[in-house]
Amino acid sequence: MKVQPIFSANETERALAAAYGAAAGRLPGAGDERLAALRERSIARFEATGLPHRRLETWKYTDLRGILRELPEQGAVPSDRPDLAELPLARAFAALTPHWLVFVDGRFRPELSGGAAPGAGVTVRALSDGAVPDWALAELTRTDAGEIDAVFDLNTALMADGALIHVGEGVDAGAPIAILHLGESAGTRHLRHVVVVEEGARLALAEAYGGPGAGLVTASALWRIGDGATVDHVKVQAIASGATHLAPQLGAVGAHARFSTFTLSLGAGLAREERRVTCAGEASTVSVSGAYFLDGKAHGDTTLVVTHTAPGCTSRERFKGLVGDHARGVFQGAVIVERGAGKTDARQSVDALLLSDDARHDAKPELEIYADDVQCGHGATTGELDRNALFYLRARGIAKPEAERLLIAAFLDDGLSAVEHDGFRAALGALAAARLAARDRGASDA
Amino acid sequence: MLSIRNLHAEVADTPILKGVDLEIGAGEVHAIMGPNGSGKSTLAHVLAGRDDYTVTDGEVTFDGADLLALAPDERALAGLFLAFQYPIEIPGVATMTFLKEALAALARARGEKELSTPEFMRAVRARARALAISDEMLKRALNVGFSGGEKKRNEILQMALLEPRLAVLDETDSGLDIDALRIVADGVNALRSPGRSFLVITHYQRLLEYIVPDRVHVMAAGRIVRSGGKELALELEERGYGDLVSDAA
Repeated sequence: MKVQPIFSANETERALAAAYGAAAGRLPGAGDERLAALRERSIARFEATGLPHRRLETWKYTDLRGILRELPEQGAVPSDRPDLAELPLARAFAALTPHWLVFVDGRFRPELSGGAAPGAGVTVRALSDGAVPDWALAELTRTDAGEIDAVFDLNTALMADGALIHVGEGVDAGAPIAILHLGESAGTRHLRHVVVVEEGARLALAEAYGGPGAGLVTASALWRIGDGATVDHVKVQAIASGATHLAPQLGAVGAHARFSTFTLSLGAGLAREERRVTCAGEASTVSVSGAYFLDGKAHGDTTLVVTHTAPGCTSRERFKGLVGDHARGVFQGAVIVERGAGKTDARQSVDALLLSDDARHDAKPELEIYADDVQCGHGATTGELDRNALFYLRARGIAKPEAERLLIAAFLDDGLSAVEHDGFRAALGALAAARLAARDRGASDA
Repeated sequence: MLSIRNLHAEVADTPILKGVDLEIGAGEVHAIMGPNGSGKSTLAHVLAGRDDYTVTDGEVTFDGADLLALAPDERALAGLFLAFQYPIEIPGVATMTFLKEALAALARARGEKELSTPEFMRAVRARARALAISDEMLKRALNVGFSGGEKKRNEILQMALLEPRLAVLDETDSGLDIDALRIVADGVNALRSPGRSFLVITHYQRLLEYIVPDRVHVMAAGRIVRSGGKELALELEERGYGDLVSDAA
């Protein structure tokens, strides 16, 4: 009998495993046995499964293994230092006078970082900056059973840098903290952020990804939000159209806490934003929302799992997708209400607007409810610009491109209304408007 | 000013207009009356350039130019205005943003300087006041949350700002109570001038007591079956459309 191998690694997978072999001794926390063991177990799982592919239910619309035939080669590194004062991505947040953590091509750049100093009780540092503190290690080792997926395992094995943020009990972190990653050259990088907001604390955190480099970045984040804490998080992805961005984020939210996270995706050739958020303490309020603008041949995947394990929690997921040219949008949203999570109030919606005949959007909402006395709902729409509205605007002398721009901006504005932090909403609004203006000028590489 | 000859149009392969002829001179007010389904609103939308309708025969000239060759926005910039029977609600587009875009497009088309923001605000406020449109209404998204009457007044506000050469009012009286009707009619009458013409489409004679037409036409089964002076409207009110419709069929 001939035995078929279950799995045979392709070139990309072999290259990623080899990258681990080459780097393992130099990765942050290499001297820490617990972290080293975590990385070993993670790469072993990755080597056993390979990259996710379309036969896995959660990746059926994004055949990563099929798409990622090869890794981007390390490109020439520009000698110029990026000028943040000139960078739209940085300027959008400048009015909020944040504390900046700047990374370039996967490495923390202290000389570019700084700004407002974090207040007392707030720890902000880079993963690569010395021994990994116990509070971060506790988060890093919390998920170690392959329960997420191979991209997360890969990121765990190879994480080379990232932001470690800790806000102590009852501390208001004040001015926002902003993580900025610039992909200046092609190449493969792995970032891991860990954010812990203790009981009754408050944090506003912005994450922004940009730069002209056509690289592959895996950027994951782990969140622990204590009882009664308040966290506003926004993420903007505005990387080059030839770049790949794989970003799983995992969060656990405590009792009576509020967690509002919004992701605005404006770039990338291939991107997957994955959010797994658990309402773990009673009466917590969670908003996991976003908007994405895909054009050219971009493929953008948003995958959510919001799990209610505690009673009386409220979750809102609102997404707006704008898909043009030959682009493809994917939305998978699962809401799971476990036994014991009575009085759950969960709502999910995704609205996609197709701007061309060749644009495509797939939406797969799922509800799994194991508790009684819950209110859950979801809705998904896919459509074109409202022809009646277009005609009305044109009947007043507004030319077709301007009329379309008004309607598209209105659609995105509606999405951005889910951003509860006023300053963040303004920043994202400016970036979205600039992206739309670039589209009108026919430049799809924002 | 407007010349319609033998106009035929259909929607989804169903003929609606079956040979409309109409001449409107500068400064004239014409009314088209007729029963539901006679093609009145179709005529209004065909004139404005809605692409659900296909013109299969005939021609329309506006100030001597071929109107049917123009896109909807080009028609508007050429001076044609359609006051919608059902103004569209557009969430997320602020009424003021919309008005400013429309006026800016018009200024560009006419080679005029765009109004400054204070000039624009003054122009809107002055005309809004005359139509009993509050600042609060102007702050809302376009037509969103407006009552039927507010929507119709908003149409007249747009007309007052855009100062068209020809305004087509499509059942502007529908859904209006008598006070709202008077406000709307006053708004229209204030715009009457020797250079501006109106085509008032209505089901009822009532509106024509306030906007007194020079000519009244009766439309039935896709054609104009009778034309006369303003007294024709009163005659229709008394006798109904019955005879005319059966004649046309």
